[in-house]
Amino acid sequence: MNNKINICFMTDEALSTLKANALTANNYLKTNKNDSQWIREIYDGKLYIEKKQKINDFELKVSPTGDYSEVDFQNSIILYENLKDLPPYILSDERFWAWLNFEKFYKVAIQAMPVKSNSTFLNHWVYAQGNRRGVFFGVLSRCFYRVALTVDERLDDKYELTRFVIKNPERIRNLTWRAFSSEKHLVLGIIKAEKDICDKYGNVVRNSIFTEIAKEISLYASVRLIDVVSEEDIYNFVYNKMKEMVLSEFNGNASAEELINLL
Amino acid sequence: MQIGKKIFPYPTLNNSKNVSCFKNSRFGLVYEDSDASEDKDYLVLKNAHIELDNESLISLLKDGTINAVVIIECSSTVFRKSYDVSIFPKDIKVPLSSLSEKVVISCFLYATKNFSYINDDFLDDYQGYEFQIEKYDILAIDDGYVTNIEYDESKDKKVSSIFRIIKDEFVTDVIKINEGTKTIEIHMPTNQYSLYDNMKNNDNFQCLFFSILAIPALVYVLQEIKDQIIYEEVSLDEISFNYRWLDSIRHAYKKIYNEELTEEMFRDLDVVEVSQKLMNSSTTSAIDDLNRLTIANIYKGDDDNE
Repeated sequence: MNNKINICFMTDEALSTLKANALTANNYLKTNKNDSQWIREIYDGKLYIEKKQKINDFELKVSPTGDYSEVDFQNSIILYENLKDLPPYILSDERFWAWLNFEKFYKVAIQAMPVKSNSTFLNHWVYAQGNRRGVFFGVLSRCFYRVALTVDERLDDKYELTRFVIKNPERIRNLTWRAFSSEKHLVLGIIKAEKDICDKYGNVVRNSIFTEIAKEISLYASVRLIDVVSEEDIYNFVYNKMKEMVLSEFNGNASAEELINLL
Repeated sequence: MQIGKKIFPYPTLNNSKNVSCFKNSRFGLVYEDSDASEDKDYLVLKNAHIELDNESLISLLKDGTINAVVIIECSSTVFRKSYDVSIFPKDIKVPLSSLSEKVVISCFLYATKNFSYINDDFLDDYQGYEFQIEKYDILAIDDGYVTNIEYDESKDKKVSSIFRIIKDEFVTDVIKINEGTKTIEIHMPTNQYSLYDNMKNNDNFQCLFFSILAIPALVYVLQEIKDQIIYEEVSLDEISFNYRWLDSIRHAYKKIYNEELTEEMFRDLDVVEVSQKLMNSSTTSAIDDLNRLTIANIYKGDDDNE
């Protein structure tokens, strides 16, 4: 049986100080791959406060080759399974993820989100662009929510859709910026349609189509009450729209025989 | 989900009269706030129901051609859920643990199937036309209410400071004030922050720090609020929604002045005086402290010379 531990929040003071010293923090992230002791150089007050909620003590995997995509799916599932019973107000709290990112899973987070620009720290390690965007931008929080929004207990493999989106996060990224993605039944219907289209048309489905389909759904929702659209109806809408897009994109380049195969 | 002033390709009945395409009809969500002591862990819309006085829409509602829902959305916790409602009151309960910060409660009538739509109460511009409504189309809108939820079941009851002192690498030779949602942030250059950090727990310097940091910050934010009320016609409720520390200030004001700090009173507020009062008259106390420390230093110097 796993040990239980109390969850922690980074203190408000520590978090505000890190944000106010973002360039320095960003530089430390570049050079300190093993531990986050550097935070003490920026803020030497109380870093974390313990909360009463408990979780199993668990570990995430670090890729031995340095390629995080090798462990992304597995880690996302471990995160989800161990955290899913926490209440939403904690799961969406920047201070909780700051504890996981900087303290509990620092080495994993560094591998998952190497510093590529001056804004990496602000955009991905803390929620500089607001809570909603932060949840889906955050190094580890986005891994958790990708699972939470796609796990489907009705399927033989309940993580079938999760595997599909983690393999290529573009398949869900554009949806998560939009408020309707808080309605899980819509996300399931959309991702199922995307998956069926990808299974049918394979490499013909380019990443730009996921951006376009998110826009089409917003257009569809412009006069409709998207919240009450059934999973089946959103599936049909997305499937038909994507099929139309794939075929129209292919139309100019395909031979008649290839086109018939696509249909 | 809020619709605002969005224009539809067919007439919609809106709770906001100036964007409604109906002459006289009314639509809206009605509920009572529950007694907080009864359901302290839930957001409760007690006796929630719609008010609708358009006979044709009532008839469509009765035969199931249209339906009514309340949508409760909390973007920051990724919570959004719809609840069926009708003209008959029922309670809607949402666990507070699913909500944090801004929560939007809105209500809609929508089509459950395709149908042709005419209504005697359409504005004149729409009279005589028949509109083809599709399944899920929105027919009536109440953008409803926005509320702010701050829920932490494990939080202790201690009232934390409304100020936060932040070391800021982007600030050089001045102090900057930032009105955060939860606290008023005072951003300080790195060197001065280190000095402050060493001295902040010394009781002799508390009034000094209040008078050189907290009081100017308070003057600044109260003046900003006053200007928003007077020049931008923003209501005090809206401002309180954005700045949660304002509740603490209003609470402290009531304790000192024995009356509520209302929007009207804000318009004539002497922000310099009130800021000092709210901070326990620390400016004058700081001068007393300086005098005391100076005298103590003189005597200490005398001792040293002996």
